[in-house]
Amino acid sequence: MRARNSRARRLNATAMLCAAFAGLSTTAAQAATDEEIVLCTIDDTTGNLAAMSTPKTWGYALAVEEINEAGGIMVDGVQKMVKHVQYDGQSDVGRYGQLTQQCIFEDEADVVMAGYTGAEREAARVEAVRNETIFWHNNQGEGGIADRYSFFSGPTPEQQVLPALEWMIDEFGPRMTFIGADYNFCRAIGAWVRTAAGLYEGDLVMEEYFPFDVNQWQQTIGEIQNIGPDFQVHCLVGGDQVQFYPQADAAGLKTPAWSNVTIADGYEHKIFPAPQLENMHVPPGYIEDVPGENSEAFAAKIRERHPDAPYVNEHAAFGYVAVKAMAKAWAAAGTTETEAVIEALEAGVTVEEAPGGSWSLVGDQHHAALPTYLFKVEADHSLSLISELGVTEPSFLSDIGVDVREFGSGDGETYLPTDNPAWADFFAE
Amino acid sequence: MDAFTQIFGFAFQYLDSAAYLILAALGLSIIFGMMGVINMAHGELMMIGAYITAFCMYGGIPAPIAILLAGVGAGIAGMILERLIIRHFYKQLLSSLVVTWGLSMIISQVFLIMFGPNMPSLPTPFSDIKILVGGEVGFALVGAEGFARVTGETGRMPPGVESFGIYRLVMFAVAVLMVVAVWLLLRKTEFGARARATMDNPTMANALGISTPRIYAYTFGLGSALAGIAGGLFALTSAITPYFGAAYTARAFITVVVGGAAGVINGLVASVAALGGVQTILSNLFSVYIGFVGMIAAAFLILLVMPTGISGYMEKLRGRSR
Repeated sequence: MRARNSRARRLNATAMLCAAFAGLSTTAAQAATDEEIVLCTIDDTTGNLAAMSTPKTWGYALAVEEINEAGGIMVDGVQKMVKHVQYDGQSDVGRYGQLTQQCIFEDEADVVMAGYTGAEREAARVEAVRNETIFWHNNQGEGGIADRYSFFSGPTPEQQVLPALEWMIDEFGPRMTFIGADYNFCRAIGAWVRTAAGLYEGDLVMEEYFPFDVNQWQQTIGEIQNIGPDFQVHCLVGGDQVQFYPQADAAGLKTPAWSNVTIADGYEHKIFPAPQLENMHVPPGYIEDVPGENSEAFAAKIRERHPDAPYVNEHAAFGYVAVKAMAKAWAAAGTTETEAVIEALEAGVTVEEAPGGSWSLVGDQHHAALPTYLFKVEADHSLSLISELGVTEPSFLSDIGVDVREFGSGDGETYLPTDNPAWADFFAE
Repeated sequence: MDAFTQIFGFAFQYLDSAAYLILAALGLSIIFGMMGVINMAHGELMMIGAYITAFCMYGGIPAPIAILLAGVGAGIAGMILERLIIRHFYKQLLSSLVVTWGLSMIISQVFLIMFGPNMPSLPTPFSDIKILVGGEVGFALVGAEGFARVTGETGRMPPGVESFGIYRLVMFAVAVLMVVAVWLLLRKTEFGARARATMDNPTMANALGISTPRIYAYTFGLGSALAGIAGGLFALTSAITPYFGAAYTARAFITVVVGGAAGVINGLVASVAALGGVQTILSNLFSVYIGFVGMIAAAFLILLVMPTGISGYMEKLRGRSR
């Protein structure tokens, strides 16, 4: 009896403590929203996507630090600091919806930025959009998402697949093979590769998609060797699929290859021993090998704060850019009120200090005009810049007659190359 | 492509698939097949082996020794796990599933925290030596120079020629050696006899003076060591991450369950021969995806016809004919 009593007392005490903490944290959050602007970010800092996503949190933190050091942002007649609330998605897509709700309702976020994979992005984005909160996704994406509350800082296939494959076809010849992971992003990349083949007289002779846990590649390597393409296109994602590279190297498949998911996110050239990735071509919007003052300064700042960083990748840069863009929009709107901030963003925001080179949001697209670069992985795994692909203005949505500024709440749509009637022939088979 | 190239490519893939399944499943065939522990942390024991191999090789230790050390390290890790945790869950299938699943998450997360999300990959041994088959070459074993001569400046293979790496064949050879060694250990040594006696009837074994707790620990350690060696072998041809093991666990279970518990080693060999064959044939005829799905479908069908696995079925047939 006594034991039970003391147990009950302990339970009660725990409950009281929890309640007290809950009370405290609510007050803290409320106090914060009055005096601070709240940026809520969700990224995978643990789990199997941590290698790619963690640098993004460094980019966010750096941008917030710089904004606050410069005195914050003038909104509603007061100079406010930016408060950064950061959650770990644990590489578990199931957490993104719930954490987004936490950002919106508990932290009263003024903007939510979340997700690496398309699945994570969509889980978070659905919640943000439903609650009419501004949402950003900050790494390369498949493009084509048109929605009033959603904004994208990273490069899209228009800026990566099209110009880079035009260069590859010119340089190596028209015959190409495509292998990719079987999910929405690589399926979309496959459609863009087909589009590039159509636009630049390429010939896509193989297109195959694989489950994520495929890690035996001999058969595919043999198939590609039999086809003997001028170059290969890859969209291999995750620790199992990238085992293609050591296996292809051991089997002697040395045909030039192109991939927009390799190096820019997971810095594979630092992880695989040379020369396993030799002759790979990649089109990032930013990696620390991008030349220029912005790039060097950014990489130096990140390295100063994270001396153990294996590589400063694309995520770090576009996380940083998105926060800088929001800061400019808040300042321009003079408020954090969502509709006014969207208007300010749609009026066009430019981040000149963007690490990859000047970056401008295109208002009617909610995607950005930004420069991309084509790098080649050398035999010793150094990267050489072989072509500056230049600044590509996104026009995919406007070409098919979509103006995101005209979208109301709940009007969101996602478009793929197959939605462009001018490209219908490329998908005719 | 000529017939010889086709047959060679087919045989190579078959051996590659078989090596993969044997290495992934051999340790588990002891732990699950013999001891009846659903060890969801099997892949993590392989991952421990991969990390030990990596650290040894960063330190300049040659690959074969590094892989043996991986076996020793994973074996010790396995015995510690067995003494601390697993031994409380013998004969409790579902509890062992949940506990080892939890262990697998904890182990990979601890490795993530300790060593970060990625380790520098290791070079694949013998990657300069290649087998060239078909076209103008016919059949040749070439080194880096010979390979460069064939591919010329473009780095591209002449039409009709296919090239194969040697390391996958080395893996197959090692896998076969490991199977033979385990068979000899279980069948021809005193430890093997004690282990089999303990697993068959622990009370009787104990009564006969066998220290069953020690045998359990050693046997679990043996299974773990085999997983560690396999992890080391795979580490030389893949990215080394804390989640390295996850892909192997599922395939290892499929292989071991199809093999059945009646004859652990015979079952494993039969299961690998069947599943590897299905996978190779289907992925050649259709696609890698169909090959993988087909392997799971084959496992499903085999278990429908032979619910106790291939070895259980053979045992039953033998029983009937007696």
